[in-house]
Amino acid sequence: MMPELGQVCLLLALLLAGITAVVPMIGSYTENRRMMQVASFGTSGQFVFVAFAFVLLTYAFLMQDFSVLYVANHSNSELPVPYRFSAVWGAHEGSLLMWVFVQVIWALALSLFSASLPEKLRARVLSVMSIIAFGFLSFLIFSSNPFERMVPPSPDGNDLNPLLQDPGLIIHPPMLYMGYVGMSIPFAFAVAALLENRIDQSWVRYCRPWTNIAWAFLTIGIALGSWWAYYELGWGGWWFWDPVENASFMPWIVGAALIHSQAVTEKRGTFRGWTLLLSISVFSLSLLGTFLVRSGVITSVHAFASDPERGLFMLIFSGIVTGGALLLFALRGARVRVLSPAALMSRETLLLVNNILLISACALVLIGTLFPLIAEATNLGKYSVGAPWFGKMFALFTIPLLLLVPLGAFCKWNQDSLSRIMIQLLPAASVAVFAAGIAWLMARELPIKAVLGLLVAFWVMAGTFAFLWRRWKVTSAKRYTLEMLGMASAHLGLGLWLAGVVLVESLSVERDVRLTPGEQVEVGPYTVKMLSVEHKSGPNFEADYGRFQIYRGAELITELNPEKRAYRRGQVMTEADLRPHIFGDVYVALGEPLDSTGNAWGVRAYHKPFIRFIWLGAIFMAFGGVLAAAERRLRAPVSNTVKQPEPEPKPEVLSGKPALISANSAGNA
Amino acid sequence: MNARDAKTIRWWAILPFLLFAYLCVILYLNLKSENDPKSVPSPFLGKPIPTFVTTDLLTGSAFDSASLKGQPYILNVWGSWCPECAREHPILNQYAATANAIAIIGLDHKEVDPNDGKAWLERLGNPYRFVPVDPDGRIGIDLGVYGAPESYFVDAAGIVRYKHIGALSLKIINEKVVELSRAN
Amino acid sequence: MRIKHLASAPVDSTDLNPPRHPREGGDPGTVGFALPRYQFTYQQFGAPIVRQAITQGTWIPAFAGMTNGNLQALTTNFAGMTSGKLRALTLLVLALTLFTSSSFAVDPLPFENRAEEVRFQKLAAELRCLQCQNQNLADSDSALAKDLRKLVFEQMQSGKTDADIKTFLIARYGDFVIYDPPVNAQTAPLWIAPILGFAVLIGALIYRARRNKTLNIISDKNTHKPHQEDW
Repeated sequence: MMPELGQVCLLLALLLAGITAVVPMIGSYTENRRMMQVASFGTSGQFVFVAFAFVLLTYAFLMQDFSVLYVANHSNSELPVPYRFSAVWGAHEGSLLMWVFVQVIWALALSLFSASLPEKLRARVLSVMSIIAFGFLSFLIFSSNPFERMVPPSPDGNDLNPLLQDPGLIIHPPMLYMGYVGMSIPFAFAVAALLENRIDQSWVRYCRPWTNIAWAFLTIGIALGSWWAYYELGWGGWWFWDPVENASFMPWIVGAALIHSQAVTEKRGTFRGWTLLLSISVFSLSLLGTFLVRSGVITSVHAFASDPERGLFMLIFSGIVTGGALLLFALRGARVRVLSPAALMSRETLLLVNNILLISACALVLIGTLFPLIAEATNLGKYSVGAPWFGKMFALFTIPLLLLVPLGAFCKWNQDSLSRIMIQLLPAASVAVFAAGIAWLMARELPIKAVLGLLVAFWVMAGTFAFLWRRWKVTSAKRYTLEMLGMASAHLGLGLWLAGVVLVESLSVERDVRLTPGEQVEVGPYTVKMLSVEHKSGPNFEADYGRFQIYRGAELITELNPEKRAYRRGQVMTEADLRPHIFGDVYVALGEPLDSTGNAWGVRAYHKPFIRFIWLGAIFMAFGGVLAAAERRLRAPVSNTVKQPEPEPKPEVLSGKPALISANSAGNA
Repeated sequence: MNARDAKTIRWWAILPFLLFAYLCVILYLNLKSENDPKSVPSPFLGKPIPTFVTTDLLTGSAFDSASLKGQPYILNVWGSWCPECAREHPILNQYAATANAIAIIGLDHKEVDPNDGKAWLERLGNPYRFVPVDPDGRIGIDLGVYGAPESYFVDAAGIVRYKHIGALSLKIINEKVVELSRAN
Repeated sequence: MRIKHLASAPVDSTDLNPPRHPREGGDPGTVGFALPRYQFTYQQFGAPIVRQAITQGTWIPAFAGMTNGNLQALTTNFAGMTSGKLRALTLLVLALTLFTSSSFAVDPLPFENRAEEVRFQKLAAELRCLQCQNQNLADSDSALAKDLRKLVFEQMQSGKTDADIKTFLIARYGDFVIYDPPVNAQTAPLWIAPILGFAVLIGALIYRARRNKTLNIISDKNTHKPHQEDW
C-alpha cells in the first residue's frame, strides 16, 4: 500500500508542478494577482508531496520492503541501518527522486524568502522552477519509477553497491545535488528577467545570495566526492579527470564565473547580458552532467545505471529547457547593451578577464570530456582524453587566472593604474617570493615547476591578506563587509588548494611491495611494518583485515588496518586505511595474497604530503560563498538598500522590442 | 544615443544556442549509435595481421601463422574461462559445418591449464582448423586483443578486413566472409 | 532465485556484454558452486550486477577463470592437510582468497631503484586500460593491465624510452590506449578550440573597451559620481 501511496504523491506533485508552471506565468502577463498567488501554494504543495514520497521510499528501505523492485535491487536484509538511508539515493531512480526533492526544497525556500520580490518576477521565477520540477517529475514517474512493484517479492533483496556503503557516500550526493539543483535558481531568475524584458540589475541582487549558497554546496559536494575517492578506492588520487567528475566540475567553474559577474552587474550595472548567459549556462551544464552520468554515452568509473531511453528523455528535456532559454537570450538578452565607461585598467575589466579565463577553462574541460564523443560521432577515430592532457591544458588558463586574483581585489572600479596596484601589492609579492624560497630550501627535491606553483599559491594568499590588512590600516573604513570576508576566505581557499595540489603532485610517494609479516617498507618519512593479515566478520561481509604499524623514525605512531572485504552478495571491495595529518597522510591498502601460503601480500603504501590542503581549500571556498551570501545589503528589500543617487531608469521598451540601456545609466547603482 | 543598437540583430547572440544545438546533435548521435561505446577499433584494419609462432593445443606440433597466407580465414580468440565464448561456440560449430566455410583458427588465449582447453573442445565440439595456444597472453597483446571472444577476419593476402569484439552471429560471419572473398 | 525485471534493473546499458576476460566474472547460468559460508551462485544476482561491479572495477573474481574441476582439486588438497575446525577455517581463507580481488592493483615489480619505480608509475598512469576503460594501467586490476604492466616493465628494463613503449602499444591497440591524445589533424579541435575560444573572447573584450573609450567622451560628463562603497 505504501509504495502506491508514494506513487500517488508523485503524481499529485506532477499535477501541482504543471499547474504552478502555467497559472502564475499566465497571471504575470494578465496582471492577475490571484493567478500569481498560485505560485506559493503550488510550490509548497509540491514540496509536501515529494517530501512524503521521499519519506515513503526511505520507509520502504528501513522496513526492507522487498516487494518494491528498487528496494529489492539495492538493499538486502543484512544491510546496516545507516546505509538503508543512503541506499535511497544509491541508484538511478532513488537519486532522481532526491534530485526532485532537492529541487522542491530550493523552490520552497525561494518562495518563503522572496516576499520582498516584485510580484511578477516572483511568480515567473517560481513558475520556471516548477517547469523544471515538472520535467524531472515526469522523467521520474514515466521512465524511472522508484515505487515499481516486484511480483513475487524478493525474499532477501539484492545488495547496495559496496562502494556506496560508506559514510562519505551518505552525504556526498545530497550536497552535490544541492549545488546542481540550486543553480536552477539563477537560471529561473535569468529566464524570468528575460520574459519580463526588464534586463536591469535588480534581479541580480535577489539572486546573488542564492547563487553563492548553491555554489558553496557544489564546492562541498565535489570536495566530498574527491575525498571519498581518495580514501575509498585505494588509488590514492584525489581527482582523476573522469568524465563524471568533469561533469560536476564544469558547473562549478562557470558558477565561480557567475558569482563574479553577478557582483559586477549588481554593483556597476554592466555585464548584464553576460550575467544572463552565465546564469543560463551553469544550470545547463548541471543538466548536461546529469545526462552524461545517466545516459551511458560515456564510460566512467562513477557512471550510473544507464539506459539510452532515459538518455533520450534527458536530452529532450535539457534541449527544451536550455535551448529555450538560450533562444530567449538570443532574442532579448543580448540586445541589452550597457556601455561601460570603465577604463581598460579597472576592476570591471579584471573581472571580465577572470570570467573569460574561467569560461575558457570550462570550455577546455567540456571539449576534453566530449571530444571522444565528437570523434565517435564524426568518425574521427577513437581517442582517450585523460589526466595528462587536462593537467597541462588546465594550467594554461588557471595560472594566469590565479596570478590576477590579488589584483582584482586591489583594483578600483572604473579606472585605476597598474603601477599604483603593483606598489600596493609589492609587500605581498615579496612575502610570496620569500615563502617560496623557504619552501624550496626545505624541500630541495621540489621540481622548478612546483616551486613556481607554490609561488603562485603564496602570491594568492599573501595578496588576500594584504587586502585585509590595507583595508583595516590604510583606508578609513575600519570595517569589513561580509562580502569582503567571503571573498577573502574563498581566495585564501584557492591558495591553500593550489599549494596542496602542487605539493601532493610533486612530493607523493607510492610504493607497491610484497610484504610478509614482520617486513617493512619506507614511504617518505614513514616506515610501514606489516604485522599480520587476519580474518574479520562484518555485518554483511567477510574481510581480510591487515595490521600494519606505522613508524616515524623509531617512534610508533599508529596502527593501520586496511581491509579487503568480500560482501556476501559477491562484490569485493578494498578498504584502504590512512592516518590523516595536516602535513601529510600515510595510506596503506591491502592487495592480494601473492603466494599459496597466504603469507605474502601485495601492499600499496603512500605518503601524501599536504593532501589535506586540497579539501581545506575547498572548505574555505565554500565558507566564503556562504559568508558573501549573508551580506546584509543583499537581503534587505531594494528600496532602502542601495543608496542610489537616482532611481534606476526603467529600460526603454521600444514597442515590444528589446530594451536598450544607454550609457547614462551605467555608472549608477 | 546609439539607438541603432536596439535595431541591430546581434548575430553573435545566437552563438550559444548554436553551440548548444551542435552539442545536442553530437550527444544524440552517440545515444543512437549502435556501436558499443567500449569497443575499440583495431589499428590492424587494412593492414597485415602480425604473424606468430607457437604450438597447437591438440597436436602439440609447432604452429606458424605465416603458413595461413594464401587463404582467407577467421582468427577467433577464446578461452575455456570465458563464458561468452561458450555461448558463441555453437555458432562457430554451425558455421564450420557449412559447405564453403573458410577456416577458423582458434587462438586459445590465457588458458591456465591446457587440459581445460582440450576438455572444453571435447565437450563443446571443435570448429577450428588449428588451435594455437597463447598461455601468457603475449600473442594476444601483439594482436591487440583486450578480451575474449574476439575475431579477426583475414583475407588471402593476410590483411585484416574486420575485427569483431564479442560473440559472433552467423549473419555477421556470412556477411564478413563474403566481404573477404570480395577483397581479393 | 532470479529477480524479475532484471533486464530493466537500473544497471548498465552495456549489460548485454557479459564479461570477456579471465578474471572478470562469470556466466550467470553456468558457473556456480557452494563453499562453507558462501552459498555462492551467480544466479543469485544475475549478470547486470556483475556488470555493474565490473564497470566500477570492483568485480574480478579469480575463480571465474577456474572450472569446477580445479576448484575441487584445490579444496580437496586443503581438506587433506587439515581437519575439523581448522579445516573449515582454511576453507574460509581459501574462499576469501578466491573471491578476493580489488578495485585497484598492487603489483610489486622488481625495480632496480627508486627513479625507475617513479618513471614506471608515471608512465603507467598515462596509459589506459582497454579492458576496464575507466582506469589507467597503474590502477587497473584487470588481467590485461597486469600483463601490460609486466610488458612495460620489461621494455623499460631493455632500455626502451617512454615514447618507444607508447608507440609499441599504439601500434597494437590504437590511439585509445594513451590518455594524452596525439597531435594530428583529427585531434586538432581538441588543442585549438579552447585557445581559439579564449582568443576570441579576449579580442571581443579589447574591441569593446576601445569602442567604449570613444563613446565615453559623451557619457563621462553626465554620469560619474564616485561609487559609495568603493568595493
